[in-house]
Amino acid sequence: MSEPAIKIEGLRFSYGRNEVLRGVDLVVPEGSIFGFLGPNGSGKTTTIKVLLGLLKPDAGVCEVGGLDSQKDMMAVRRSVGYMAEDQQMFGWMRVEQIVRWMGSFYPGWDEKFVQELLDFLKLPRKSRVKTLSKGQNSRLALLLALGHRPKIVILDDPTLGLDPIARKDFLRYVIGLLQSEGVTVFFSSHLLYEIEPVADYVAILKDGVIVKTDKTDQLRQSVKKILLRGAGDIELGGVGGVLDVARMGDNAAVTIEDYSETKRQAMEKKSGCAIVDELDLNLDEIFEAYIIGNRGQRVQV
Amino acid sequence: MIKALFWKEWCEQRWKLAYGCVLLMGFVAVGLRSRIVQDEVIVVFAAAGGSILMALLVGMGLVAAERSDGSLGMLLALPVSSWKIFAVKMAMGALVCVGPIAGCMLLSLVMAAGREMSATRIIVPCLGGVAFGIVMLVWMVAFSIRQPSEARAGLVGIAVFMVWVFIISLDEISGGGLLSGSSLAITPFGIFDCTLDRNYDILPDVIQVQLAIGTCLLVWAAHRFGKLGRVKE
Repeated sequence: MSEPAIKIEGLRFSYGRNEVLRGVDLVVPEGSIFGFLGPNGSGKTTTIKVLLGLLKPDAGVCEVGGLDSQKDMMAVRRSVGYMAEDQQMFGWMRVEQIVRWMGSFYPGWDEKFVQELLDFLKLPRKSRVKTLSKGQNSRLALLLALGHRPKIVILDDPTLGLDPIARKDFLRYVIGLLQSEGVTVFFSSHLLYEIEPVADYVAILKDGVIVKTDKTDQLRQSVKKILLRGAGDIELGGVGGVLDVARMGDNAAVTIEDYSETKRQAMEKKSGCAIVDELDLNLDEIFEAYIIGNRGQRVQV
Repeated sequence: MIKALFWKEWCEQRWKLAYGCVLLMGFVAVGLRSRIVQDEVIVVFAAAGGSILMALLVGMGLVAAERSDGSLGMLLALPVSSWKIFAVKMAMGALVCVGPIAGCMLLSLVMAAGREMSATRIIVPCLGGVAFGIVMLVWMVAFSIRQPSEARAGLVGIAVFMVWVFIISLDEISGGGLLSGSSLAITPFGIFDCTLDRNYDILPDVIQVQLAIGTCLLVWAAHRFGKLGRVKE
């Protein structure tokens, strides 16, 4: 098995007394598109900043491309393409100036590739950065992150502030540029529909802890919404993996992870109700269940 | 890499250099040509006032402008150590700070050397002004480096300057008891004061003290420069 592109073990970080990351463990396989999901304030940006050596963790180890992100932070930054959340650049520079300027910091800067990218991303060379639209700004930031042909690209909520069309446009460029090249993409977002069509793997971060990591397809298969028919209080006491319990018309809807025949039998036995349907969920609904799901084991129907 | 950092800083700071040169050299030219007051008053005022003005103008924009624009994050994420970025910023800041005062000195030499003042008497206070400008810049940057906007950095810079003015005023009121003798060397005015009073005996000691204090302040500022604040996610 090849070395993981990114490996995080026991990562802890606090801003003063506010503990933002509380033991994050994560492995990002090489060549994958990895969706790093979490609501606002869950610690996504902080994790990424620690990965790049911009913040020093209280505890834990981060490796990017086999390099320790604290001990070899310059080597990590040279080898990784990074696009920050709502990236602000030097507005007074022209597009061609900022591209040339960035190139001077990376030994592997591929000028020919960058010139092709400028055309591909439809960026006006002579325009000042401050005059670009939000969509153009994001595309320029993407170009600057890719100019040195990194093997690992870290995109921190890259479509933040873009309208839906610009978002789709941006993602089309990301996929077009990176998917065929075998580049590892670590993509943080809080917009699930953005991640779902592109990510091979997803990790869900909640309150500084990873609550789920899986292949996107497996996650979709393993989390189900089960409809139970019954009346009065329905109790599920002791059934493992319940993420959300809610009333849905005349039924109780139970969202459960790692659904199996054993769990099916356990649910029927504990609740005393018949299972009337098993529904597949999209990533958005799965994410919602993990983040704001009612973990109580009781619902009144 | 360093050249690229210098180029960026130069592009961002050059208008301040031009502004300072036009303002101060214009003042000196008009003052020396009109001869309303003594030449010495014009030269000393340009050196002292210019150094404070330039230190404030440069100090408030050196880091805080990047912080308020949001471009500091991009700069710090480059594969260059933060202390190198800070060193380049300070070097360019010092250059922009002293440029207009050096320009005033040259203009004064051309227009007024040998008239009321000898060339040496023009050069010495101007050099004192240059040193004072750099010292004030270091103090202002060190204390305002974490400020989120240029306005707040400017306010902190003014406060730093006013605190020292207040301490020296107290010293004057107390008849020189507070900062007597060599203790004046610790104030940012130390070198400039020595050049004005032509107190060259203690000047090497004052310069050493100022270098030591300046180094401590720069190390403190560089340490805080590379630290990112709380991020909104």
